[in-house]
Amino acid sequence: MKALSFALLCLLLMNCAPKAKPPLSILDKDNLNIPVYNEDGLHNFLHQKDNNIHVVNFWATWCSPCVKEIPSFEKINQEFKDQNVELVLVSLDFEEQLETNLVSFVQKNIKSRVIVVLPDDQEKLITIVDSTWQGGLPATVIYSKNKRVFISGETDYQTLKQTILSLQ
Amino acid sequence: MSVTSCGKLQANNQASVLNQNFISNQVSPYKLGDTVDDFTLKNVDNNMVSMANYKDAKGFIIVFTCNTCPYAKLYENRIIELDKTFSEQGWQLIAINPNDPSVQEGDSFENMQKKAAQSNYQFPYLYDEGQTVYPKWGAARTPHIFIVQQTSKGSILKYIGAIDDNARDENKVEKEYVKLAIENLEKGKQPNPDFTRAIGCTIKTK
Repeated sequence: MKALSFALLCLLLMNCAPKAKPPLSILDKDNLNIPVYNEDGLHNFLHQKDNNIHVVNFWATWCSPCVKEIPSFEKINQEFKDQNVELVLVSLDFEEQLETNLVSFVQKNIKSRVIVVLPDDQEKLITIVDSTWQGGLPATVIYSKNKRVFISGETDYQTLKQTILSLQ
Repeated sequence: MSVTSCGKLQANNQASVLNQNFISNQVSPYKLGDTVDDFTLKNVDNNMVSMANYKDAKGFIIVFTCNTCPYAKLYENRIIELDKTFSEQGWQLIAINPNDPSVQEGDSFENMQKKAAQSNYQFPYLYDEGQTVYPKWGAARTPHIFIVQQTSKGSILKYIGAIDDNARDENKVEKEYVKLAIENLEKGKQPNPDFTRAIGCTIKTK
């Protein structure tokens, strides 16, 4: 009876709660907490309707320009952490390289929030991110309630800062 | 930094696109249905190659690809297969490396020659010296495929996009976009879809 009530409660909560999809799995090696989603789970990160400025960067450990710009995002994260700016670094690393490559890279280099997306449908993923995106990594979306900016290709600290300031 | 448009843009007053991967004062890249210009680029055998060299070709499968990108590597065998299948039917595959080797050393001309030899490419693998060709085509990632059909009015761009719908696992591919596109063209029909997208590496430029 308890189990049934619990199940019913969960069902009720799931229907009432905001539509954040749970992750498919979580990489939790050594105190890390990196949730893994497919493209449907990504939607929520790109369409928050709060008063924050959201910075969502798409990268992978195998993508050298992506890795090169990570310090800029880390700097932004640090600088704006008390100013309603939320940063998510979305890794598109390959599934079989998450434990070997991603985890150690994040441990050594990243304090910002990291999630992984393993797309089942790449076209759908690309469309969720931005209709103009041609699929090249890196790419960054910066958005607030009123404005949305999509950066295709490499960016830098100054561009990120200016864009964030223009959205404030 | 410049604001440019590329590919199929939808009008959206609230969104802006900062595209830092394109040369800032280029003309708009080719759209589907456009007549494309020929190019003359150096092949790994040191000969210059143009579409004009293939007078009997029904069309071309232009593949912007490189040595270094993991997605290009995932597709390498499939690119070789496309060439085997379609060269017999009169469609010439031409691979072009759009990367700047001073930014990505693995994509130097010498490394292109090594790759072509190691993988036994039976198709041209051209170096986009000065990176003047890829922006005209609007290549935005590697790999990125453009299918051109030869007509009395010139070389018409008929397909832009991905090779198929599953980069990671060849065995899970459901839609072989390039194959379907050419089959349609052979029957006098338009490719459907004629535009697809996939994850890849941005093109390396200063």
